[in-house]
Amino acid sequence: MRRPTALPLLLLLATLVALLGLPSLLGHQVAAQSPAAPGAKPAGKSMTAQAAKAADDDAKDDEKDEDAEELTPEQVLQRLMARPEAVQGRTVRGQTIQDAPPFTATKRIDQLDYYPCDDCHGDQEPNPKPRVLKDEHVDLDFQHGGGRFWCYTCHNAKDMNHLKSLDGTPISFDESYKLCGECHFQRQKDWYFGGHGKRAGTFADPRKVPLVHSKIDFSDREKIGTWRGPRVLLNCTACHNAHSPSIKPYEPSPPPEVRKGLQRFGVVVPEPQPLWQKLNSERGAAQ
Amino acid sequence: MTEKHPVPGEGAPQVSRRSLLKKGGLLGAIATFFGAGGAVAASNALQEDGAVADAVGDFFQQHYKKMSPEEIQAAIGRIEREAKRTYGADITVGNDPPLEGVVFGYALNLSKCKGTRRCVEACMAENNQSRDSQIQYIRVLELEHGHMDLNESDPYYDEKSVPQQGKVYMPIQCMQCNNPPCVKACPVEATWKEPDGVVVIDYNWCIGCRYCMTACPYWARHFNWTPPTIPKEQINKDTHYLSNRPRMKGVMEKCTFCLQRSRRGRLPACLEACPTGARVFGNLLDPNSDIRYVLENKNVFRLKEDLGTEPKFWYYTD
Repeated sequence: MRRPTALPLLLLLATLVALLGLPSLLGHQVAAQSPAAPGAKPAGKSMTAQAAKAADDDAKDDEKDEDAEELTPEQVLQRLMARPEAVQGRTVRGQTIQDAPPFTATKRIDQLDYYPCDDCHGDQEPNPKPRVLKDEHVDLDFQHGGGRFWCYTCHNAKDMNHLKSLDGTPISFDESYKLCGECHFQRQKDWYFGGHGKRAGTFADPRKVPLVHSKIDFSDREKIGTWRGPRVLLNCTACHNAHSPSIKPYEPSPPPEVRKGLQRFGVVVPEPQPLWQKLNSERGAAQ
Repeated sequence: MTEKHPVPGEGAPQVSRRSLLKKGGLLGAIATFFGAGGAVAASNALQEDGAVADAVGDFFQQHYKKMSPEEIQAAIGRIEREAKRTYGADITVGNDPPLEGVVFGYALNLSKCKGTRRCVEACMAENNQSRDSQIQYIRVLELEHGHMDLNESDPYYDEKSVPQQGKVYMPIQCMQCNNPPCVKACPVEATWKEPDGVVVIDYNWCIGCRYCMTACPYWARHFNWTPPTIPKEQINKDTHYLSNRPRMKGVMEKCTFCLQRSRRGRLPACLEACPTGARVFGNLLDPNSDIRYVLENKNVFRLKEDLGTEPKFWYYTD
């Protein structure tokens, strides 16, 4: 039913595109041939050109081949990597982490046993070869990255007192959230705005919440957290072990008593004994 | 039944109604025989710590909202003395008013909750809940992964380690509904919604009819069947009139988002105790608050939203 009406329309479209699309495509070719700063060119423009090209594919086969020949592998790579702006998670209000309410993160360096690291590492040559550590740091559990990381993925080999970002910028141990956010950027965004992590409070170090419930001390009411006023956020490393970040299992606090008259779901309760039998059996047990 | 389940806090042997009436009658006869002198001596002994005067004051105490500031202060004095007599603890009962421009909201990340029940433990310690009764403001439900049927949930799970494979955990507490059915059910208006959105109870005005308990679809209200038992050294001395002051037998109690803390800018105890950071608390009216970020940016839902109770407690996953 549709074909007889669609065919002339398609033909009309093809001629229109041929008339209008030719100059724009030629213009694009000119831009592509000029090697001046091809990396700075926004990726969006080449995408539209490609779409236009695909639309009138059948009309100009010969010109398409010419276009492909002009690009060197470097240019192709540069085109692929050129971004209009850095990838940034935005909130629904369009905020980035720069727009997050001001905060201070809890300190990390004063909790590190071996800091400053240069005391030992200062005169050592960094060994980039992944291996099992036998002499020092033997207690570290390297779960992070599932074996794909080695120390110098995050630690700065040139300056062991600092961490380093993926592009080599030194990052203080106190600002580890900047480093973690390079991969975990969604979590980082949540953390900046308060959707992930905790504010500093009674348990300044949640990893020190005892695994055995009876050892919890709720009496320390001096270190308090607030929902208003200055935000003091727990650093990533306050909760997560940087070398093995997943939260380890806990022993739960004791369950409540089963409410009288109810029973646990799935538990079969035997039929209640008739009162006389119950009395008899109790009397027998007493004797 | 009483032998199998000893009632905590009542060490005295159980007496039947009839024998009690008999004894009462006997006492009355004795009192008339020995005249007013004996009665005065007995009341003097009681009055040394003001128990009788306080009992009389309690009896004539007005509804919280109808009391003048002086009357509230007098009531607070009575509560503090009563706590001293009962628990031997010097508590302070605060009366912080609701903050201007603040409505409290709560969000809980179900992806993060591992079912450690630390919130329950912190809540009991903070809110002076009876240690051996069944009153716990927070119930942590254990659900099969992918199931949301609360009828098949288990609040009594007692595994050695959590989280268990294939289980998810869902803590439930008072949702501080914006349209609270419990408030409508109360025949004496002993419970109401404060301007900061928290539903509170005047324990002195509560008659213990438990209508609110049945009206609540979240099982958030709890009744003191027995006098609460709390070890003296575990009493939280930092209390609020409408929140965690020691309760008496025969009244309702519930979560108040830790009014004694939150009205002073602090975070609720359950949030502070959560080891996984699953809980988010804040001012719903502040566009830059944590809670607003969660509500705007996460997939949130409210429990039994179809009932129209408008809870101010959101669950989310990420």
